[in-house]
Amino acid sequence: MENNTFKKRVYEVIEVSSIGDKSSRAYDLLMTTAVIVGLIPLTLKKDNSFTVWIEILTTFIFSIDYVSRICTADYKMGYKSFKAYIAYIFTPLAIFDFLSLVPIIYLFSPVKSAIGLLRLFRVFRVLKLIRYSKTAVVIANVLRKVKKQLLAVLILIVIYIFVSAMLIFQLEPDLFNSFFDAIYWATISITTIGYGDIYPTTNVGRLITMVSALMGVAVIALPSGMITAAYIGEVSRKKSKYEL
Amino acid sequence: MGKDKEKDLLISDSGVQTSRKGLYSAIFVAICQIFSLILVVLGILAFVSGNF
Repeated sequence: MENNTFKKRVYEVIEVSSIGDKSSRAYDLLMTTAVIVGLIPLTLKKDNSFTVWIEILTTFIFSIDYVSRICTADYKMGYKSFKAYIAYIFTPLAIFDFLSLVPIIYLFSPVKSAIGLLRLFRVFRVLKLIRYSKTAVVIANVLRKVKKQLLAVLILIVIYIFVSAMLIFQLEPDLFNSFFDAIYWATISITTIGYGDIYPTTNVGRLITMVSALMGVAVIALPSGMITAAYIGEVSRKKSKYEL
Repeated sequence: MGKDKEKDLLISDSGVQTSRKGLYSAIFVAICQIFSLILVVLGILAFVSGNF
C-alpha cells in the first residue's frame, strides 16, 4: 500500500505540476533548465570540459526521468497491466525521451566518426518541453487531426520532386554530379527557395524549372492552409468549451 | 509557518505523530533547485568559454 502511495506521488511529481505542488513545480523547472542548457553544446564548434559535464549531468537527470516515467506508466496509460509499461515505451514522447539519452554515447567516440553524429540527437530534447507547454499540446492535437491529409500532401510533394529530378537529370546530365544533386535542385525549386547554385542552361531545362516553381507555390501552400484551418478549429472548440 | 507545522501532525489512537512528508518535500525541492542552478552556471561557463 505504501509502495503504491509512493509510486503515485512519483507520478504526480514527474507530470506537469498542478497548482500548489511545490515538488512538481521544482521538478518541471529542473527538467526545463536541463533541456535548454543541454542544447548549449550544439551552439559551439568544439566541446570543452564544461560541455562534457553538462552532458553527463543532463543525461543523468534524463535517465532518472525516463526510468521514473516507465515505472509509473500504468498511471499514465490509465490501466494496471504489464502491457501498459510496454505500450508506454512506444508512445511518441517516450521515444523522444529515449532518443535524448543517446547523445552520451558520442562522448566515448571520436567526433569525426559516425557515432559522433549522435550528439545531434540532443535536439530531440527540445521535444521534451512539449509536456510543459499548453500551446505545444494544442499544436500536437492539431497535427494529429490533420496527419492523414498532411501525409497525402507529403507523398504528392515527394513524388513530384522525384519526377522533376529524373526529368532534369536526363535533360541536363552535365549539370549534376549525382542524382542526389538533382533531388536537391528539385526540392529547392519546388519550395521556391532557389539558391541559384544549380540552374538549368537549356530551354527545356528552364521550362521544367518554370513549371516546377508554379506547381511549388500551390503544393507547398497546401500544408500551411490545412494546419491553419485545423488550428483555428481547435482554438474555437476550446473557446466554446470554456464559454459553455 | 505555524500552519505548516500543524499539517505535519497526524493524530491517531496511539497518539500524535509527526509526518515527515513536508521535510522530504523540502529536501527534494532544494535538490532540484541546486541542480538547476549548477546547470545554469555550467551552461553560462560553457557558452562563454566556447565563444569568447
